[in-house]
Amino acid sequence: MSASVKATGPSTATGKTQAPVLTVTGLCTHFHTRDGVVRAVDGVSLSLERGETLGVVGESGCGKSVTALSIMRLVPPAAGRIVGGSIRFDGTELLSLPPASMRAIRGNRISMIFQEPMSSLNPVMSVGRQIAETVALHQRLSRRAALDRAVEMLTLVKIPEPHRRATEFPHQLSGGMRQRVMIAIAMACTPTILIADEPTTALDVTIQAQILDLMQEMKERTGAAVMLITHDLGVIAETAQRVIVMYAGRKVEEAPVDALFAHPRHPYTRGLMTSIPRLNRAAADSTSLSTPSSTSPRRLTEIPGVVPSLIGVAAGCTFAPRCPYASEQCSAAFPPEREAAPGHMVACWNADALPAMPDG
Amino acid sequence: MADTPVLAVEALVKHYPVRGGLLSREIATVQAVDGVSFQVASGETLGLVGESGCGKSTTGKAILRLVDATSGTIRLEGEDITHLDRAAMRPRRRRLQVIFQDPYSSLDPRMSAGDIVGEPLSNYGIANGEARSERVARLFERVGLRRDQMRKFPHEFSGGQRQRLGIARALAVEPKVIVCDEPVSALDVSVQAQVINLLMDLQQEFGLSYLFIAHDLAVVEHICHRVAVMYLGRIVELAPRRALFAEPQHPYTEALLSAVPVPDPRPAQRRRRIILQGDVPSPVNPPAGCRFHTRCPYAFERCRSESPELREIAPGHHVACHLR
Repeated sequence: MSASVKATGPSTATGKTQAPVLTVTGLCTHFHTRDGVVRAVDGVSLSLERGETLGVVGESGCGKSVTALSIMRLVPPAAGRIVGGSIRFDGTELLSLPPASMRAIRGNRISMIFQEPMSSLNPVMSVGRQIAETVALHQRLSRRAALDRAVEMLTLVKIPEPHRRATEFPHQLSGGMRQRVMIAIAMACTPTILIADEPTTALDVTIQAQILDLMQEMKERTGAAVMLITHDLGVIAETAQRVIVMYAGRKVEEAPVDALFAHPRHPYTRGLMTSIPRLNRAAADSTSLSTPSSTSPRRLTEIPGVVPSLIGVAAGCTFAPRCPYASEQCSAAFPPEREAAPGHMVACWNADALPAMPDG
Repeated sequence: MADTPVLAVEALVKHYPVRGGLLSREIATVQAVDGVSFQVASGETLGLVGESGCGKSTTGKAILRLVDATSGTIRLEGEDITHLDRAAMRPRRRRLQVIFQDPYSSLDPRMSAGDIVGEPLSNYGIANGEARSERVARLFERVGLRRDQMRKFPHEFSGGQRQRLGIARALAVEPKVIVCDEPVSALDVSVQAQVINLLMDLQQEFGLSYLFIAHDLAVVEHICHRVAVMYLGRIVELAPRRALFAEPQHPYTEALLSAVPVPDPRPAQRRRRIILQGDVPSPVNPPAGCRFHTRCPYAFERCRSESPELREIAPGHHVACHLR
């Protein structure tokens, strides 16, 4: 990889490089609490190719957000610490970078949008100035030029009347518009990587459709690679090219999106897929709908139990206590990751022995 | 459904005054709910869906008499409860219970789980002492909690378990109707299925009726027999589940369904997505005519001036649109 390292200047989106733009290896991020060490991220490896959308899916506490914060070097320093691993961005090791160099990358070449725009935007600064601040910092533009760029960005993210809106404050905007402003800030410096942590979870479904559409458009315009963190398999299916499934601080499966949905190989991924009700599933299943008041539709498949505590060291597979296919081996040692099909990684001792998926 | 509906709402209106100026005069009204009518039959689940601000939760609160309706009537098993005072409402609340979205904020953190579920039993004089403990223990087991967890406090439970507690508390007084306000939205995907299955099992077992308020359309399709779609304080479509999801008649329902991301990447499974422009207008000053006309791709002149009535276009399928 070091042979193809490019200069750390602004990268061109069209650059054809085979090396991934981001490589995370064996990342461990732990939080020290009164109850013990929380192993929020416990040996996660992933790579992000140029221009691709990588979906990261998992439930609360699976470590998906902490992985993102670790890449941004934004893990709250009071309790949390990156205790191991490596994060290489475009040939540069981020974990050993001095804070000043990291600041030059953060918000400029790697930027991030969060779930709740209201808590990430400054409530006492106009949105135009907030966009301009980022641009002025990273691109050394004059105040005037930065404000012009802010209005241009608001136009790009399709905020009506951008000149007027630039002077408004976050509370004057709707939730969807605030997320558009967040996207404008994130994309203002044409980043190489955009990390989006549950960007549409707080939004209504029709607004979610608008924002996903906008993100896709901005990605195509700039060629940025996107790491999209979500719990929503629907969002994953519609936006990602590759997917990582996380559970209890570890990566349990990684696959191209089609392969993941067609042949989920980890019991947890399967559990997620069969436990969600799907739109029009019931409508297709005519037998369950004869009369509205009598028959009940089929039951959802439950994943028994709850997500485990991440305190302390789990000897075996973290999913074993909830897994219908768990064997003795599973509680003894965490299964190593192996390639079950081209590009399809799974960490499960029994992945090959699982029965066929019920047709979904 | 010749029987009296368990719950009947007629022309329900809830307006909130917006006060301002020196004398706090009423300067505007938030038309949160503006003429909503529906019925819930015994053993039936009626879904109430729509985006934030559409009035679905306010409708639920008005039915529970947690807010007073501005006008309209609410009937519980045929009896008008719209204007009953607190004391008169009390015995009726036994038949009308609620499950909230966030179980943590609806459980008293200083009460043990057993007391939380047992309190309504004492309040209504149903059971006390040993008998109460026994009933609570049975309720715990019924909702999938262990007896020994009765001594624990809410913070010792996970999100899904807290929602089970909330369900046990609602169930304790043997209600006829439960208003479920986003009961699974705060839960993780893997736990959501557990709670949905539990709610459906309990309905079968006790013949409960649910008013199921939610924004997740896939969950609503799974659990509801009939569905009402709300937009800016009004019902735009009300239909049996299958008709609504397979053949939506209102342009808003159509857009709403098409906006839901499908968890299947195969191109054949993708539907044409209708992306609505703009945001939901403010309920303080809703658009004249059809309230959806500002975002409707098919709006024409009549929609801007004349508000469409909710009409029955097929058995049980009601739509409020000039095009149908």
